[in-house]
Amino acid sequence: MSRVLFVMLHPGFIRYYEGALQRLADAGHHVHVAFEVSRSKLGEDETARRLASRSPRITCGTTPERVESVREFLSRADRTATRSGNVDAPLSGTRGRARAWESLATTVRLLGDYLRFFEPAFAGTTTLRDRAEKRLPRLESALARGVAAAGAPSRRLLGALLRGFEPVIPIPPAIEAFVREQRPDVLLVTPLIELGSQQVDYVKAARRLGVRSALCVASWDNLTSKGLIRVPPDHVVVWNDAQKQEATALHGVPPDRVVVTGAQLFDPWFTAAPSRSREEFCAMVGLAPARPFVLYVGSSSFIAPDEVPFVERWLAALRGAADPAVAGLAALVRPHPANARQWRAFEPRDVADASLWPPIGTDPNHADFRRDYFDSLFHSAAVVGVNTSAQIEAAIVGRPVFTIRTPEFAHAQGGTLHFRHLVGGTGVVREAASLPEHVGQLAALLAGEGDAGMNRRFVEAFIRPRGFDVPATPAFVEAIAAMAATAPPAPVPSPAWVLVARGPALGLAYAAGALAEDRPLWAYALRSGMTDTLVAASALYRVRGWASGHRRGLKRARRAVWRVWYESSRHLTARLRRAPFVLVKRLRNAGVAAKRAARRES
Amino acid sequence: MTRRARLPDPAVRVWTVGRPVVVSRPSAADAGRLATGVLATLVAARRAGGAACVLRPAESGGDGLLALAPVDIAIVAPRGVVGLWVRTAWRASAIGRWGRSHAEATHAAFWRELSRELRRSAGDESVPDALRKRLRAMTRSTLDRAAAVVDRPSPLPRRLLRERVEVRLPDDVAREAERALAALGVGFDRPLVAIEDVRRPEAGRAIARYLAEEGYQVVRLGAAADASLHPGVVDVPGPIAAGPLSVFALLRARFVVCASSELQQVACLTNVPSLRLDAPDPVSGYPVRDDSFYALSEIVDLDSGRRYERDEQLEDRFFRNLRNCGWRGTPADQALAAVHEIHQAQRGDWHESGAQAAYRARTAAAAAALAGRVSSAAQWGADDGFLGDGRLARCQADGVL
Repeated sequence: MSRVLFVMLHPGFIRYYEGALQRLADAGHHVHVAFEVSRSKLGEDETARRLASRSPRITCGTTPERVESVREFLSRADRTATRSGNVDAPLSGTRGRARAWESLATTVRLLGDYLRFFEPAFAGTTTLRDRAEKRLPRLESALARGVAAAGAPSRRLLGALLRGFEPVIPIPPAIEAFVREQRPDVLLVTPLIELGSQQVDYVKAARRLGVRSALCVASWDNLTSKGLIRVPPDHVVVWNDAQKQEATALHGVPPDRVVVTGAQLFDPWFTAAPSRSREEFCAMVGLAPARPFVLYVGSSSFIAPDEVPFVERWLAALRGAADPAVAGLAALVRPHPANARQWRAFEPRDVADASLWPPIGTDPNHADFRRDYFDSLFHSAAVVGVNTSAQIEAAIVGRPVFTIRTPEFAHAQGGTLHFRHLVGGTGVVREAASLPEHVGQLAALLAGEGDAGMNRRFVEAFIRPRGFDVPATPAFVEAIAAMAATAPPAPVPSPAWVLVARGPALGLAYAAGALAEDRPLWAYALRSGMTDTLVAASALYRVRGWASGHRRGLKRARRAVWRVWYESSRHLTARLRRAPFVLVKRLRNAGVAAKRAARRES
Repeated sequence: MTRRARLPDPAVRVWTVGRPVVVSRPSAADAGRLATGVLATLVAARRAGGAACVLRPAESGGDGLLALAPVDIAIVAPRGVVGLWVRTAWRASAIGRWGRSHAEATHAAFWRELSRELRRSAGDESVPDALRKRLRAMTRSTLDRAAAVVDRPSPLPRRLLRERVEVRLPDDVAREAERALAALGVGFDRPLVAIEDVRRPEAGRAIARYLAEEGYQVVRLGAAADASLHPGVVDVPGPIAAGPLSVFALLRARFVVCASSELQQVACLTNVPSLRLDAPDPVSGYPVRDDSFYALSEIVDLDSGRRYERDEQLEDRFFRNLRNCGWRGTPADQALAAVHEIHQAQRGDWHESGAQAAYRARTAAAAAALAGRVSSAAQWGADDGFLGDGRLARCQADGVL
C-alpha cells in the first residue's frame, strides 16, 4: 500500500478531509498529515489528535519550521508595533541568506497574488484586491498598481516576470529533506492558495525529487478569492466542473491535470438524520414548536463584519410583514463559529419568537456541534444568509435558501466570484434586492411555491457531479490511490540558467528582506549610521561597565602608578637639585687630588 | 466677552471690495460634514463682519444643503472677477495647506522612523543593558515628538455650530419641494417631525406610532424601504438630508428624531431641535444646541458580553476599548421616553432636571480631560472646553445620578 503525505496549512483543514483520510487508512494506505501552523483557536489541535487516534495508519505532525514564515514577514512591516523587537538576524551567513530567500519568495508571491485581482475576471472585487494589497509593503504595492494602471500588456509582463522568479528561488533544504525522509508516493497539499503561501515549496520539492503531487481544493471559494497556484502540481482535485474551469482559466492549470471528484466533506450531510424531534429541538433552542421557523446562518468576518444590525432589520421586516404567515414565522439565528463575538451585541429577546443558538462560545469541534447544526437545518422551514457555505449545506438538506442583497454586504456578494455559484443559473439561492422582496419570497414559499428541482440541480452540479446518489469520498480516495499507484515522474533538477540567475537574484533577495520592513527609503540610509553609532556607544558602555566593575583594583593600580611616578620624580628632582653640588664637590675633590699628585711629584 | 473669530478648518479669509470674505470648500462625503462646514463658514463670516463663499465640494451630492441661503449674511458667488480672486486665494491657501501638511507628515515620519530604529536596537540583546534602557527612553521621547507634530484632524467646531444662522431655500426650490412632498402624501396642515431609522426596529415603530398619535405628520428620511413603520409615516426618498426634499422637510420640521450624527449636524444648520438616539458614546454625540437631546446606546463589551454602565462610559478605558464594543441601540422604552421629552420641550412644558445639568457638567469635564489622550474625543469632543448645551434624555440621566 502507498504512503500519502498530506501537507495542510493548519489542523482546521482536517474537517474538509476527515472522512476521506479515514477511508484512505481503511484501504490500507499510510497517511501522514503535516501542519505548517499549529492552531487552537477553535479547537483544531483537538481535531488533529482525534484524527490520529482513529487509525494506526494515520499520523499527524508538523512540517519543518520556516526561517521566516509569511506571518513573520508581515509582522516585520507592522508600523504600529510598540514593543521592542529582536534585531533581525544578520544578513550574512547561511541563516541570513535563507531568510533573504524566504523574504524574496514571499514578496514575489504576494505581488503575484495582488496583481491577479487586476485581471478583467476580477472586475468589481475591490475588497479582495484591498485585502491582498494590505499584505504588501507599500513600495511593492505602488509598483504593482502602477504596472496594472499601465495596461494589460505590462500587467502580463510583470506576471510573467514574477512566475519566472519561482524556479530561481531555492527550495528550503529542510523542506526537501522532509519530503525525502517521508518518501511519499503522493504528496497532497491544501490550500496552497493562501495569499503569499509557502506551500508551493512542497510542490517544487516533490517535482525535484520525482514525487507525484496534488492540490486538494478545500472549499468553494479557494480558487477565486485568494492567491494563485503558482507552480501547478501534477494534479488538482476539485469539487466540480465550475472549479475545473476556474483552475484552468484563472490559474493556468492544464485541463488534463484537473480531477473532478465532488465535495467529499458534504457526504455526511446526505446520510444524516435528525437526532431529536422538532418539538424537542424547538424547546431546546427556545422557540415555539407550533410555528415554523426560518434559520438565519451567519457568515464569516470577512463577508459580514457587522452582521447584527442587518439581522435586526431582517427580523423587523419579518415581524412587519403584511402576510400573517411570514409575520408569524419564528426565527433562529445561528452565528458563524469564527465570527460569533459580534453577536454579544444582539438581543433576541427584543424580538418575539426569535432565538440565538448555539450560545456564543460553543466549541465547534465538539461532537454534538455538527449534529445540532444538522438538526437546526432539518427542522427549519427556510434558510437565510449573506454568503456562506451553510447555504450549500441547507441545499443538501433540502431546505429553500435565500439571500438579500444589501449595500453593506456588496463587497461579499457581487464583490466575490464564488457568490455567483450560489445565485442565478444553476445556483441554489433565491436572491432578493430588498427586504420587502425577500418577505414576498418567503410568503410565496409558505403559500406552497416549490423549488422546481432547484436544490437537486445545484447539488448535482456543484457537490456531486458524478450523480446525486454517488458519494464523493470514494471518488476522492480512488483518485488519490490512483495517483499513488502510477509510476512516479522523473526528478526534475534545476536547469543551469537557474543556478546562474541565483547570484544576482540573491541581491534582490536581500533587498526584499530589507524592504519587508516597509520603511521609507531614507530610513535604510539612516540605519548604517545608527548601527555604527550603536557599535561605538556599545563599546563605550562596555568599557565603562568594565571599569565600574573593577573600581577598587583600578584605584590601587592608579595609586601605585602615581606613587611610582611621584617618588621617582621627587627622587629625580632631588638628584637634579643636588647635582651641581655633587659636581662642585667632585671637581673640588678632583682639584685636591690633582694638587696632591702634583705635590708628590714635585 | 466676545471670543476671537475663529475660522473653520479648512477656510480662508480674503478681502474683496472692502470687506472680508470667509471662503471654504466643505467636504460633501456625507451630509453632516457638509452641513457642519457650511454653518461654520457662515458663522465665521458673520463674526468677521463680512461675507461667506462656499465653493462647490469636490464630491457630488448635497445639492439641497448647498442651495440654502442665509438671511442675514452676504454670500459671494464664486463668479466673475471677485469669484476669480476668491478661487485663486482658495487655491493658494490649499497649496499652502498641502505643503504644510506634507511637511508635518515628513517631520512626524522622521521621528516615528527614528523611534522604530531605536526600538529595534533596544531589542538587541547584544547591546549593554544600560544602553538599551537609554534607547528605550529615547524611543519614548521620539514617539512623543512624532505625536507632537502629527497632523491631527481638526475638532468638530462646536462653538461655531452653537450659533444660529437663519437659512432658507430659494423660493422656486422650496415650491418645487413642497409640491413633491405633497405628492408623496405629506400633509402640511399638521406639524411636521422628521425621523430616521433607529437601530432597534421596535423602537422606531413605537416612536412613529406615538408621534402620529400626538398629531404630527411624520416623514422618514433616508429610509432603506425595508419595512413600513406606521401607516401615517411618509418616506422621503434619497440619501439623508442631502436633497432638496429632505432639506425642505427639515426646515419645516418641528423637531428631528435621528440615529446618526449626519442628521444631527444637518439639524443644526436648519435650526431644528434634534433628538439623537443610539449615540455610540457620551462625548461624540453630545448635542450642541440647548434645544436638543440625545440618548445613549446600550454598549456591550464583546469580549465578556458585559454591559457598560453609564458611569464607565465617561472613563478613559472605555474610550480606549471602543474597538471591542458592540452597540445595541437605545432601548425602545427609553427612546420613547426621550421622544416624549422633546415633544414636551416643544410645547414649553419642560424643564431641565438636576441630573441632566450634572451629567452635562461631568461629560464636559470628561471630554476636556480625554481630548489629550483619546483621538476620537479630540476630534468629536469639546471645542476649546465647550461640549454642548444639549442634554442627555432625562430617563437616562436620572439613572446615572
